[in-house]
Amino acid sequence: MEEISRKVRQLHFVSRKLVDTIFAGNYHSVFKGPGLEFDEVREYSPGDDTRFIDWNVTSRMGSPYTKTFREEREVVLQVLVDTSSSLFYSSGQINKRDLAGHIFAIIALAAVANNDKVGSLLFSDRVEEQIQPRKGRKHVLKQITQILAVKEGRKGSNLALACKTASQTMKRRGICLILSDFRAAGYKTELTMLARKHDVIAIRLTDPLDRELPASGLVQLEDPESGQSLKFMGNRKTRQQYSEYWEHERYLWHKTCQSAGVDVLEISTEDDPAVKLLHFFERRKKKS
Amino acid sequence: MTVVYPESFWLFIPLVLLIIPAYFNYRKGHRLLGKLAGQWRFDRISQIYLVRTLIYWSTVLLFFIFSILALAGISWTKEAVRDESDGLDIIFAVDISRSMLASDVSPDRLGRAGELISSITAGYPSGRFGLVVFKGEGEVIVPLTEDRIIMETAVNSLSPAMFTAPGTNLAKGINRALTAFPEGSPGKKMIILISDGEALSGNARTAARECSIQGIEFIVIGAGTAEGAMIYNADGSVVSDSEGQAVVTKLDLAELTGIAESASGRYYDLSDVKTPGLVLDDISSVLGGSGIEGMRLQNRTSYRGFLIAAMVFLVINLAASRIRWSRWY
Amino acid sequence: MLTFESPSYLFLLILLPVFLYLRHFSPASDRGLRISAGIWRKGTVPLKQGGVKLILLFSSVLFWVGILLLTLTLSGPSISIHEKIHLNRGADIVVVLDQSPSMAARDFPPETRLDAAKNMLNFFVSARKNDAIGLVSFGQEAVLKVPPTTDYGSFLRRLDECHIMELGEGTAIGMGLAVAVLHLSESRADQRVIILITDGDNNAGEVQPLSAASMAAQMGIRVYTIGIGAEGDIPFEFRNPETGQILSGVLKSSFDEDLLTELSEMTEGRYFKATSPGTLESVFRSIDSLETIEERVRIQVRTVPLYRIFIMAALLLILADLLIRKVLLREVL
Repeated sequence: MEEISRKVRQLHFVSRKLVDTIFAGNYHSVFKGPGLEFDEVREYSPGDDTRFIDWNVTSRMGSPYTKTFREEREVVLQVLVDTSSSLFYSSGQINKRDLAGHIFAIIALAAVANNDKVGSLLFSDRVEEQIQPRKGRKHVLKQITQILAVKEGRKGSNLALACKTASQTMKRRGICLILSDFRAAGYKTELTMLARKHDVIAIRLTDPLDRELPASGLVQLEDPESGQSLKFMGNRKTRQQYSEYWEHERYLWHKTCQSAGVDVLEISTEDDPAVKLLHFFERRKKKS
Repeated sequence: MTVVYPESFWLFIPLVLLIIPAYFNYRKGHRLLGKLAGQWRFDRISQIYLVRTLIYWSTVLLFFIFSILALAGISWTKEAVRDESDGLDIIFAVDISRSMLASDVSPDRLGRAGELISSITAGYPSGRFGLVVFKGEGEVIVPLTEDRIIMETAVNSLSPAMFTAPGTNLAKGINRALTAFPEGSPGKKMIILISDGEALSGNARTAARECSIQGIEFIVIGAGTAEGAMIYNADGSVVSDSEGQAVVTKLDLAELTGIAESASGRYYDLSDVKTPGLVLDDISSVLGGSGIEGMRLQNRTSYRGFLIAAMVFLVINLAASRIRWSRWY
Repeated sequence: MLTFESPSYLFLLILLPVFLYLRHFSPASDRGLRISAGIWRKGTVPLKQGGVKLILLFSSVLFWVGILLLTLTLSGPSISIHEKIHLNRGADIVVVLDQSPSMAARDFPPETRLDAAKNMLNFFVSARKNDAIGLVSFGQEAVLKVPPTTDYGSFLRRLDECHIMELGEGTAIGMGLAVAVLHLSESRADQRVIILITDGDNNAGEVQPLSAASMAAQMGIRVYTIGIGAEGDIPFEFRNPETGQILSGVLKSSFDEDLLTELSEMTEGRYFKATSPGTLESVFRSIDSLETIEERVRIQVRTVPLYRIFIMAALLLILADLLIRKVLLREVL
């Protein structure tokens, strides 16, 4: 527990700096609100759009009054975090779960800096925890703690169920972020449904080991989720089969997201998530 | 404690060599673990890997060590086995190589051997005797018989010229003697080997051990002296080697006592005047049995204990690789 | 025959499937480094590596056969050899065989008389179990070739080495008999028998057949005499062992039936006439049936332990498995 809170503080410290300097603004411009909301009625001044003249008030006061609007800004950010055992692996310095925590921290803090509500949904083969969207930095820190406190041992990634639950709980249009390794199948329908209502971004957590195995002799690995073992010779033929398999899986993921209208981003455990996210935001700004 | 098959211990040498693949295996595994496990858990995992590797290879080595100990046929105790034999069959195995003509024992080694055989056959009139002579090959001269006359004749005609077969092969002599015991005889069996021990080929100790395993009594008589003597040809000239040096033949005491030991038998010196008496004493003690009537003591090799220990280590080995040492590995 | 000294250890074999299960089939058998290697509800990465799997299977088979052998070793495998031990003395029989040139006559076509006699002796000896059998051969003189022994192997080897005219040209029946009697004189056997096989007259030697026979009679030795060969003109051919010359011709065969009858009668034996292969065989059959002693035997079981072979084989198999996995396939984790 001690270690987790230390980690949270560290993550908070690093991310806050990033958010304050770069991400808050970027976040604001990339994730616009769903529409305009009525603000006040003031006297018409020349140049105002005549469409917005409030005729009721005008007739009562005798001079033209117009309605003013402001952008609706209270956006809800819902983050779906995969907490299955398959995330507890990487060949690098940090594992995928830590990477997920890191990304969550950056985006959630940026959201909070823009006065948005942040909620999260932790899932494995079922929905493990659901935290209602609320404003405030403290609320975000609580969620980071929750993500980092997840112990290895949860089996399965029921992404379909997570998407369905998110669709049901998010009443208003919001932003939905999925942090997962997408080692799941059969989530296409639910993802499409979710993307129809919300702005969905799929962030795929990857690792160099997802692409390539090191050359070796006979090795026995154990899949932490299914408990099945994978016994293989690390020779050229086997390694090629392995690479081809995961390359194909990646292609399928891309296609699924594309057809569902989901924006995609891949972040590897080797990468600096801040850099990757920044690139992503800039790309999205240009698009919109 | 006696070790019946001490040559099994040679197997320890290749066993030590097993450490080399074990070490390289560990190094390779450690490197691979660095690539697969990731830095975030590498310290923990490499510790566990070291422990697992140590347990794996040490149990494997212990398995082999104890199996080899089982192979060696170590025996601590003697067990009594039923023995209903009656009478004694004795085969004399006499070395008739040229070196047996050396006269460091009077009149010469072969002559003295003949005298010894005669006094033994005379001292034990109810026995059956046979005579095997050997050089490079063994040959049954007198099959096991009660006929003392032919025995006497054969003994008197002992000479290197009895047949031609180059070399001296004690093992073949002993093995020939082993086959000279006919089947179905109720008697105990004894081989009396008379030689100067100068064997050129053959593993006499293994052959001797086979006798002991088959329960055959074994007596080795060493012919000659440590100082040795020259050998004379029929024309009186000294036998010399290719460089013209006179060949001196000596008694190989170490070899002969080694053979006696392998066969758990006794060793006597041919030149000793007490030898015929001692051999006859041995014969009568064999006939009298060793203590209990109708029983005879035999080495009991306790391989089972070692084997069980070896298999326990193998089970530990299997179990250790099945245990989850940490949630990562 | 394979036997087990302590078969109760064979119950340990029950444990074998247990370990086999633990090693290869139980869920715990999949322990390894935990790395995600598949997709949830889709299974692990399918890798085609049939060759490696085949080698692993082979290696496992080696290993488990090794373990099986070790388990069997615990129960003390050994080969038990049943040996018939004769408790009473058999008869002492000395065969006196004529080796004069006339024995080369071929009236047992294609064999000579000597060959026929040798074959029949082979047959005779293999039927005896406990009787010491010796061999005296004679020509001009007589020698003891084999002392009475139960070592039939030696006897048959020496018999095989007998040749025509080894001992000169004569037929010293008396000498042959005398040598046989001499070597039987010290025998303590209850029954002592001489079987004389000849085809001619006594024409050499210092001892007359009758005096030798009376010596035998005094000692209670029975003499069976076999007159071998047909009468008349018989072709013969043989090699003189001294000169290497091949001699052939026609033999005018006849033998002194009266003498042989008298010899056997003096010693309470019998005289047989063997003129053809069939008769020779029946002669030996009747001698065989005449000279039977009730045998008393004990079966002795000698066990030769096999544990070393078992352990060595097991060690080799287990070592092979280890080397295949650790060196050939470089199994590390």
